[in-house]
Amino acid sequence: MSDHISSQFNNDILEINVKLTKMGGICEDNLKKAIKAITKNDSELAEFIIKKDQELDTLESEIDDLVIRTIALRQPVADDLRLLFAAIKISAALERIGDLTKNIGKRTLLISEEQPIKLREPIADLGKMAHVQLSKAINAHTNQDQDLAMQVWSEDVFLDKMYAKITTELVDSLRKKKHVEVGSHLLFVAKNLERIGDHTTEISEMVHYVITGNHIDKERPKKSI
Amino acid sequence: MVKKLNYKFEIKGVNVFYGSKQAINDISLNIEENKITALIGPSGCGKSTFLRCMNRMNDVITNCRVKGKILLDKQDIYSDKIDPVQLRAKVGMVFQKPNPFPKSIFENIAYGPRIHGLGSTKAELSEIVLDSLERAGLINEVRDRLDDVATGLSGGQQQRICIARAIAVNPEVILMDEPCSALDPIATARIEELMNSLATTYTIVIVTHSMQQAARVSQNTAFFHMGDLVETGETGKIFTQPDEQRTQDYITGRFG
Repeated sequence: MSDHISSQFNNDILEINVKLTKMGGICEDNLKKAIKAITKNDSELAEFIIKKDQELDTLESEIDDLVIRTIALRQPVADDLRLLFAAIKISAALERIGDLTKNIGKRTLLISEEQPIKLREPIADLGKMAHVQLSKAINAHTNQDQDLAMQVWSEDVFLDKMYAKITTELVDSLRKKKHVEVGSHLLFVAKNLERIGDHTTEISEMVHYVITGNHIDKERPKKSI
Repeated sequence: MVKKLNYKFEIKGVNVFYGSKQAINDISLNIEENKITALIGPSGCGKSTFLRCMNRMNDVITNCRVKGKILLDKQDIYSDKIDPVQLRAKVGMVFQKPNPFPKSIFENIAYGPRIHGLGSTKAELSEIVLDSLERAGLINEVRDRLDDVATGLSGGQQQRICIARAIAVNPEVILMDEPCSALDPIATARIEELMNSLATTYTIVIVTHSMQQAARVSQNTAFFHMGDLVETGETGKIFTQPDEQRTQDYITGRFG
């Protein structure tokens, strides 16, 4: 995207993008740590991510304020307007991803005394997949890469499938009335990871919208449990 | 179902030259009836030249030549059968700087109808004047001082006098060449609101340097650049998803 005549306008947009990139970075890092915390039962790491989440909330508010200010002062149109609109939606998605990640951290603390650790293993695979999807969505936004955005959008279904499989396994274990507490929490953790996947598709939809000016005109592949 | 569009103007392959310099390059554009069409583009892009072709105001510029076809209601306005004076009554014009005659408010409005033979009696003429002031949204401000000199009014009021003056001769089209560039935001808002209500009766074509004004008032926008018509279309589309990179660069403030 070429520069505007107004350097201040360029700076405003740059500042918004820098903050979004920062949010994306924290989200990715927190998610990675949250998966490690829950699967390795690491309370210290869980506490770190819970605290770190505050930075996401602050950044989201800052992005909102900057976008509102830029719209008021610059009256942007066309791709500039789409970019600002997308910034609000993407920062909201990242903030939600942050909350879901924080919730994984909280559940890690709640079951820190619970065994067996083995039950937690499948969560690592699901978490890894969610993390890859998130990284790709953030890269698609940073590089304005429509192909990558569409890839994230269409591949969320694999996350859905793995989520369905893990849920079934956890329910089976609960049915045997074994490890009820840890199993219940892990069900929520799995659900959180599946929801994180949905938010990554929102980010990719916005990337597509900024680039093309159109919404994706087909139904996203989904797998419900 | 495809909606059939009514075109007031059908403009085909228009080229305009000032001496040997070409100002407009082969432009074709249709103007929808009872709609507001905005012509936008950087200074010197040819938008005002193009506007002035639409009521042959360019005739008075000695070295200006217009080639191509400009059809108003399917009739070529550059044909020998057309009387430019009658044409300019049918296609009125409002300029950038309010230019009322240094006469009374009443005389400013009555002048046109009188020379065009409208309103044979004083009562009829008076009715035309009051009706025009009413349509121009000015009547409540000037009703009691029709004999005052028009140049004593505020800038915004003077511009509305000019609009009333254009309306008084029963035009079908009103051309506006940056009508608000000398006005403050409140006077501008009044003119824009007036344009909106006038568009139910008249076809309006406005040249404006204000992107926001074009976005606010018009239904269709045409973007001119260096004598070319780069893109034309529904205003909402032009300002959200223009097809052409040059349009995008201009409306987002990326080139000068």
